This record gives sequence, C-alpha cells and structure tokens, in this order.
Amino acid sequence: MTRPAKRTLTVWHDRDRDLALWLARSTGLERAAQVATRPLAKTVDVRGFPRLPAEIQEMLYLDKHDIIITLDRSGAQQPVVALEFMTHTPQSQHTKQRFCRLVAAAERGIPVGFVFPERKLSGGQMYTCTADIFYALQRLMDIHGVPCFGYFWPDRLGRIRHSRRHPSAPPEEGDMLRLFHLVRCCVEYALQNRPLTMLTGEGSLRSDLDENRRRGYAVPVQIERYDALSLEPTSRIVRRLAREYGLSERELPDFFLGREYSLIQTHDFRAASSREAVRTDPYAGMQAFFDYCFCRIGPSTRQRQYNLIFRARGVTFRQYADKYQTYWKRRCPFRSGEPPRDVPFLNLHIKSGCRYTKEKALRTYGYLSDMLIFDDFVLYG
Amino acid sequence: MISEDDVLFAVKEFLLERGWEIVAYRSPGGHGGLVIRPDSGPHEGDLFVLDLVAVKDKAAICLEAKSAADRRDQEKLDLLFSEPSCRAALQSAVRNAASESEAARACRLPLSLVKAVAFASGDIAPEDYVVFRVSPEGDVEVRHGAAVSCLAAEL
Repeated sequence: MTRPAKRTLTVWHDRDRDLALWLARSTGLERAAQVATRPLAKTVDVRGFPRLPAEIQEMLYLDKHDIIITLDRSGAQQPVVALEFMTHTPQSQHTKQRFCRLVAAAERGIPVGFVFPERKLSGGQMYTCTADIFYALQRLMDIHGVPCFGYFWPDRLGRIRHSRRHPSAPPEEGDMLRLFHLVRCCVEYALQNRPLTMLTGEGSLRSDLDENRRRGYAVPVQIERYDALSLEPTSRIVRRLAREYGLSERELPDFFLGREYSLIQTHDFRAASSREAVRTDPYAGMQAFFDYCFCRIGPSTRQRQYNLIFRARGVTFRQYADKYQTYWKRRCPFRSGEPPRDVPFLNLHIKSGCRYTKEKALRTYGYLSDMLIFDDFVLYG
Repeated sequence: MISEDDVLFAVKEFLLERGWEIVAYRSPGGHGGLVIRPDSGPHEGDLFVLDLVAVKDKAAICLEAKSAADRRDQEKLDLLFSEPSCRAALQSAVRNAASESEAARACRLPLSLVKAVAFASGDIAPEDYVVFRVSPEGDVEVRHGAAVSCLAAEL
C-alpha cells in the first residue's frame, strides 16, 4: 500500500531565513510535512508582491508579519499561523505599534503569536513590559475566536538571549516551548482540515488561554490612563466640527451619529520632518490597539461601541494627499500610458486598484478610522 | 540573485560548522546585530550596527554582509577599527556580546578583532580583511589578506 504524499508547509519570513528555519526545526514541522522557506515581499516591491499568493497579499494589507506559515492546498496557500518577534525594549508603544500585524491575521481567522521581552536592559536602565498588550490580545482573541497569545522572549537579568544554532531567534526554552506547541496545534488542525477557530477549545492550549487572560487582567486597562486619548459625546464633536470646519451634521454617516460616544486619539506631528508628516509608526499600531481595547465589539470596523477618531495635529490635507501622489508618480503602472514590463503588477492594479501598494499611512489610518481630522480637513464616510 | 539574507545565513552556517560561536546576528529583516554607540569623539551618539560577530578562542570576527560587494561596508569597518572612540565602543560591545554567550570566558581575554565582509557578487579584497564569497548554491569560499593569515587554520 502506498503512503499518502506529505503535504507542503511554507514558512514565509521577513528576510530572516534563520528565524524561519529555527521555527521549522524547533517545532518538528519537518516530521509532519515537507517544509519550504520563502521570503515575504514588501508591498512596494513591484516584482515580488504581485507574485505572492493572494491569501498572503491580503494578510500584508495592514503591515508585514515576521513569520506566516501556510499549508499548500492544490496551489492555494492556507495561512495557518502568523508570528511576530520583537527584541526592542518592551514598554508602551513598542509592543503596541506591532498590533496592526496581529489584527491583520486574527481578522482573517488566523491564530497569532507575539514574542517580546518581559524586560530588557538598555543604556543602564531596565525597561519592563506594559501588561496592557495582553489585554489587547485577549480582546482580539475574544472577538475573532482564534488563539492570540503573547509570549516572553527568554532573558537573563534583562539581557535577551538567543538560540545558539539560530542566533536571530530566541533560545528553545521558557515561553518558547508554549509557542512551539501553539504552532504544532495550528498545523495539526490544518492538516486534519479542522477549522482553526476550534483551537480555542483545544484542551492542550487551555493553560495558555488562562495564562494570557491572567496577564491581560493583571492591571486595569482604562482610557484615562492614556494621554493621547479622550472620550467625548459624539454630539459635542459634531457641534465642534460644524463650528471649526463648517461640516454639516447631515453629511455624517448614520453609524457615526448613532454611537453616543467617540474615542479621539490625538497625536501632534508638528515637530515631524516633512517626509514624516503623516508617519504610521507607532500611531497606526496604537490605533489598532485602542480599537480593540476600547471600541471594538465585533469582527468588523462597523461593530464598535465608540467611534474611533484619529486627530493628526499639524497635518494638512495637502500633506496627506502627497502620500498618494508619491505613490502615483513613482509606482502606479497606469501613469505613463505605456505597457509596463511587469504584467503581474499591472494585473494586481486592475483587480485591486492601489489597495495594497499605496503608502502604508493611507492604508492603515484609512482602514481603522471612523474619522480622520486634519488641520484643514475632515475625512469620514 | 542570492539575497543579503542568504549570504549572511551561509556565512553563519559556515562559521558554526568550524566551531565559531555567533554572538551577534542581524538578518536584513530582523533585529539584533551588534550595536555600537561611541560615547565620545567625532562620532559621539552615532549608531553603528554590525551584521554578525563570531567568537572563537581569542579572535572575534566582525562582519558586514551584502548581496553585492559594497565599499561602504569596508569604509564602515575601517572607521570602527581606526577611530579611537569608535574602536573603544566596538571592543566594549563585542566583550558584552561575548559575555552573554557560551564563550563567556572569551570576554576576559584580550580579544583580537578581525574585519570581515561577505558578498555573492562583485569583489573587494582588502589586505587586512577576511573575505567570504558565497556562491548561488550557498557554498562559501574564504580569502584573507596577509595581515589576517593567523586565522587561516580556524577558517
């Protein structure tokens, strides 16, 4: 009797083959399937990005993951798990700014793992992890029904440690053993054609679920604790918009007016250089974090208890528009009117417009915000 | 064409097989590497990051990798090795990185730092460098100038 052919798993990586191999070897994926490693292309890579599988392109819409594992299904790639690794000091915005990537996976029903230091010594100072990231992960998990776990990168007295064989990866100990178990569970479910949403009921992940919840609820996560946030009655905001921008209430969508309160996230870009006039890091990731901690009550951005408003102080519509014009001038394959050399890139634009290839600031703020307030303009709809 | 990530990975595997320990590593898409911040001199406050540092016995290889040979890598390493405050910061950073590794004993030794570059195409061949050339298949060829011939047995 012939044995069934091994299935193929691909470990996609962000130009870090060493990390991909570390994961494949540490989790024993090679015993369950044939394993290949491939680099992810940036959305601005006009040759590489259009050639990525559509399922991967969709996941990269908001931001780029460090690792995505896919299972080959007759040429189509089923994403099985997405992972993010961070070695920066773990306080405040450093973990939050990566939250968009986790959202991009969880919103598509793909489990996520996020590895970051619990503490890190830098410049003689010890920085410790802000526990609210676990609360946001818990919310992400509750809303999308797939495992979304945080793990601590093993350290010794605040100095993060690395695998000896794979020096860009963590050592194979501590929380990493739980990460390996999550990856193995995700792969096993996919190989058995079981929905990944059933993983939240997987008995062997119960302790991880409990641990994530314990860490997430260890400290209260409240709007008042964040300087950038304010919660205001929507009616008051509408009056102010009429006064300051001449905006009529009738212009605003029903879903916006229907929410009694609005959460405003304000950041001041006035000190930024012109090139960074509307930069995304860390604010876009923080916006996704605030969305899940305080606004989101369902899987889509329409399902919110509060409107999510981003106020970009010091930014004019002209500067925001420049982001699009930069894309149009440099990369839009239709601009010259000549047949482009890269046909898949053209085809991607015919099918999706500039959905993936326009600047990240346009994609992330546009996707997440119910309203964007600039110095001279209000974007809504 | 072979990518920078593949060049670096091939050299890392090559060194591990010969008993070197990697104490700092930064792939193009990753974090890490050896961070060097001179705290005085003309480059005070500047930030330099090396792609790979490998330690064996009393030697530490400080390496920059690219897909194609790049003279800017050589200029960066020359600066770090020659400018006194940069060199002091480099030595301190290498000692710190080595102290976190299994080669902890090395940090108490007077480490001899060696400049190295790696690439897959083009060429640069400075006398005081170890040069790793990576083929499209991932094979590594090593060359070294007379100034670093003492390392020949280790490579």
